[in-house]
Amino acid sequence: MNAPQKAKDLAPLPYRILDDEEKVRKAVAIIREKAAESRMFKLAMECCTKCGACINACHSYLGTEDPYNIPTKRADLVRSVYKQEIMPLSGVLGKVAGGIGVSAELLEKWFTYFYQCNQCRRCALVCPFGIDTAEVSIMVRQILAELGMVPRFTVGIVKNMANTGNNMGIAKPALLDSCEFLEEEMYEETGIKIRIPVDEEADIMYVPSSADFFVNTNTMIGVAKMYHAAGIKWTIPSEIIEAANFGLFFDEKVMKEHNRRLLDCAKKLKAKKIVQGECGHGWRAARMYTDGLNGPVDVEIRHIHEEAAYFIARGIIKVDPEKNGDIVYTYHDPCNLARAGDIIEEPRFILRHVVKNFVEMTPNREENFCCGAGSGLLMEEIMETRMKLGKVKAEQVKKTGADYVVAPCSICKAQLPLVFEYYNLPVEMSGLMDLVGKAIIL
Amino acid sequence: MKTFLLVAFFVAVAGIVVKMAGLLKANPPRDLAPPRGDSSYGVLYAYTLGMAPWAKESTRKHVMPYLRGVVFHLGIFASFIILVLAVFNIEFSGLVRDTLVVLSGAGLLAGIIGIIERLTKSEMQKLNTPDDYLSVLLVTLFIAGAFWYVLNFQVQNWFYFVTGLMFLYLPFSKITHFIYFFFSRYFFGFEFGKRGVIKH
Amino acid sequence: MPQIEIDGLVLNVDEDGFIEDPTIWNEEIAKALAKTEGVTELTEDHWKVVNYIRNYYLQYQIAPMIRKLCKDTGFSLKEIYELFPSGPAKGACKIAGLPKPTGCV
Repeated sequence: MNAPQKAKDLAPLPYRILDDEEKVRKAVAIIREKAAESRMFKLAMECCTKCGACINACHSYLGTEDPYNIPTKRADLVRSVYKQEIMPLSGVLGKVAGGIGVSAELLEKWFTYFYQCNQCRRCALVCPFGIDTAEVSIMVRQILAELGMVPRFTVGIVKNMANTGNNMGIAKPALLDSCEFLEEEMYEETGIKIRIPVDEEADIMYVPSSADFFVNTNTMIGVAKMYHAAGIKWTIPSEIIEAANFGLFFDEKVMKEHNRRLLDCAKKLKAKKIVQGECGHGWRAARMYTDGLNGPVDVEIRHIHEEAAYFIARGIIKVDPEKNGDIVYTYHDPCNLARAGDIIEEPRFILRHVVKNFVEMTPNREENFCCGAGSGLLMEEIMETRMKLGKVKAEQVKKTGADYVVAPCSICKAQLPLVFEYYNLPVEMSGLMDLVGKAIIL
Repeated sequence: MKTFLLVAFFVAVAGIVVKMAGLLKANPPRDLAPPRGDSSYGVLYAYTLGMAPWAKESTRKHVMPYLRGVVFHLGIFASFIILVLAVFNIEFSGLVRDTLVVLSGAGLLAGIIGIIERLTKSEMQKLNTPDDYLSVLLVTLFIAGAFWYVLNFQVQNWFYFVTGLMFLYLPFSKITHFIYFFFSRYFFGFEFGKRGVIKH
Repeated sequence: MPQIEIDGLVLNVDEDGFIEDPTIWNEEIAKALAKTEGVTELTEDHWKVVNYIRNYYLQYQIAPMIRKLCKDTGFSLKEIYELFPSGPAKGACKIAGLPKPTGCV
């Protein structure tokens, strides 16, 4: 299957399912409104000369070989409507410019292909005009949400977030049990009582990814050990153990509500600093949007890698790379860290201190390719597409010859092991704080 | 023929003014986020080094298409100089004329290659709309007219005619990118600079 | 709402084949669901994992951390994959009658 399953019940999103006729009418109205009001949208629609620079820069097209996954061709699904709507003599000039009217089938195409775009922004870097197709993709998914077209998977996450404050749906008793278990694990390993404090007043409020309490437990352990070694009081807010903010991908209201929750928790726990855990897009949503969407923020927002790099550079924590062995590590830049959030050199600095052998993959940093699940494309039903979206990444990793891929983002962590298995790559994978936790001298 | 050219020119200018008014009336991107990098450096980069052939993977990997594009655009600039010289009856010869012959000639060749590429490359065909052919065809004809004119001043009317055709179609075509370009590059530099992705 | 029928047992399930109402779960349902996850026979080892997950869920309304599951049942992750080819999150949780674990997993 190419498209995710659509949710039949949109609650708690403030949208409803529309019939085809309503959908078409509303889509035209929204496009007209955006065409008049959004300068960014106008530029993205008007600039493109179809030079072809983005064709081979997009892992989605390279992996699926579907022409609609060429960034400009994908944008054309919307551009064609824009041209038809704004062009004088649209019957003639609109058609010449590739214009077509909106139809229910076209909207289905939007849903299919804008959910095969990982919103990775790589095309923006190669475009002579710097057109950022991720912005188009985010906008189209927002329109689709308003037309009542949202993946079932995404609605499930929004629901969990509203009920529990995290994507997985972990309530506080379960969180406390998990923390206690991880504390026992650390005690068994080190003989030291290392705490994972929940809901305590502290200067530092650490926001993990909820997946760290299901599969990526070593990431959480790494963070706990680090703050213990640094001797700093910190805490986890049970009301938001989620760095991921899926609102960024498709709905501004959801993003804003998440950020509101984040700031409320910081206030309640009297935190001076919010530290975001290993999540790519969550970093961008918190760092770049909290101020914009939720008003001025008087608390500092930092990334856990900035903290770790600082502690290592100042000698506040000591690490021994021997503990991570002789194997070769490579680093996968999560798109939202490298292309949208400037967490590029910190992870490399940390990695050079905690492992002995580190090789770069090519291309890297802001030119890195996406894992293939970016923008929340973790739906089980599109597994075949996901594997195609991960093809370029698999080839990149294979070329490094590394034994171990470090990928500090929960979406990458969920996607990459499946990609490696699918393409028969015998490599291991984990986050970066996992390795800090192993290398740290307590 | 000069009247036709003049009318077409005003159509083009009026079209561009209308389009720019629409663009300026639309709201700029709403981004109140605290900067993480230097947005002014981003903008400077976007207009300068960011356009260097080594700056982008697309140009590093595809040097020939990049050079073809550069030559094509130089041909267009040369053709505009020729147009101005023609309209204002400014005489030119010697080195100036030779340079213009070379630039417009090379531009014409690049234009023709561009059309052939668009017609034959399977990946390009997936992207094309009628406008993509029409725009590049009309601009190439314009360069051809200019080239022919510098070789032979007798064909002025033909030169004006193809230029007029291009002007008439310009506001409805992707040729308007020549002005959108500056806005788009600005936002790219501003946003990526602000996010700290483009930096010193 | 999709329905599946296994050995005469009709179940309301979600699009991923997880039972819609986790409270109706019983051993018969577990056996039926096992067949959809490539587990033909539920052995004692299978039950150990399934019951652990089930009891954890009844207490905390969520699946246990994989690490805790391994430690408390004494199985390594590899052994769990041998028991449940589709893994602990998909296979074992489905058979134990939990909703599908979601999020970045």
